Amino acid sequence: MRFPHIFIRFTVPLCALFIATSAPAQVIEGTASGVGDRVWEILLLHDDDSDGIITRAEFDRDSRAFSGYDLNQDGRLNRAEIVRWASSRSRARPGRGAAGSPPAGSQRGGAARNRGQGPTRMISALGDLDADGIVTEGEWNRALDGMSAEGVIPVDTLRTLLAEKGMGRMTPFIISRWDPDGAGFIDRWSLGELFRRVDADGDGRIEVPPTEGLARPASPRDGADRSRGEARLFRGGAAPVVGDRAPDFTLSRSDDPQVQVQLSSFTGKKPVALIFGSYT
Amino acid sequence: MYEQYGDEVEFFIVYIREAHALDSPVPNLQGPLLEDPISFIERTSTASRCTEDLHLPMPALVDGMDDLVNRSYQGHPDRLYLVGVDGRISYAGARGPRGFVPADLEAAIEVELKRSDRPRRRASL
Repeated sequence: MRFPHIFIRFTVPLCALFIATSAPAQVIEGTASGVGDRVWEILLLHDDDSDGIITRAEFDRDSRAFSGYDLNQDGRLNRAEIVRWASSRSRARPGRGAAGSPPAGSQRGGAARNRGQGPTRMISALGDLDADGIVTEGEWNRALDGMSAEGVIPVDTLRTLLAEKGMGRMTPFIISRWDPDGAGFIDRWSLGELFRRVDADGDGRIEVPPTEGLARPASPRDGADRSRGEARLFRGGAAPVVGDRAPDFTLSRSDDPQVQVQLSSFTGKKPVALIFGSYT
Repeated sequence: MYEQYGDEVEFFIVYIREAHALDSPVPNLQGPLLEDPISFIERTSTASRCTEDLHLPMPALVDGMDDLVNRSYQGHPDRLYLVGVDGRISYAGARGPRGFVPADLEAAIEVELKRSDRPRRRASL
């Protein structure tokens, strides 16, 4: 008996809605400041009040992307920040450009300073096991060992740990950098390699930067409520398998958002087929 | 499949994060050009557009902006599941597109209906 075809990925060619104004995904060759300038010009299209600053509200798009740009997490982007972002992004691509050292002038300070505010803060928050203000490579590897299983670190684990330090807002940035396809896991090796990239002077030690303005005390939104709710459903990042109790949820219908549907309401009545997907 | 089994099985689309949004690391410039919805209302309207444009008969449930259900089921970019009458997973497809095999879901539905058929028939005797 034939049955109607279920579309793969729901994709159908359509005429364009509008062109994206976010930064290009691939890195353009050239000096760090050149790339940053070009990205900045694209981002300036979001600058509604033409004040040379892009706020989160003006950006109006994926907050994950904004958090990725917003290195100091102050909710505003300016040209200097974008130039720094571009230079740290180009260094993050292995094998591209010079052997690791950025062009002079694109860093905040001298060679002894750490590069990349986001990664530095993450390593500082999670890696200073003996609380002496320094994260050694050995400490960082031990910290990663504590988080990982079988070579990967669940994103959920990172999120909880960062939330405990009041840095839950960094999580979207981390996810966009290291888990862009949302698998829920980050490769442990790449986080280990991150240490070398952050450690600008290569002495195997990273200084924990002063925390004023960077981290804020944990608030209820950061830690407890989210991680409790997620722990109920998320179970450390693995997809449910046959025989598991199906994670319950309540979602609203697209055709009538007032109507809420709860998965467990069908238990004992009918099987439920779930088709996960999106339009693109 | 929906027309055939729609009476005995509830079908829901779970509309999740865009797989190839323009502002994602992997934009698909051949398909519909969408920036990733940033608000629940945007995602709901995108889901409605999707079901209308593709004439999808089953209702779509819209995942929250925290992607909670997506992450619980690891449904990204697309995936098929069957939840049995007992509330447990009867069929868990592999992650799409490779794992997105409607025929497997149909087979699982057949098995599930036979499993839960017996008590029903007994009750009607």
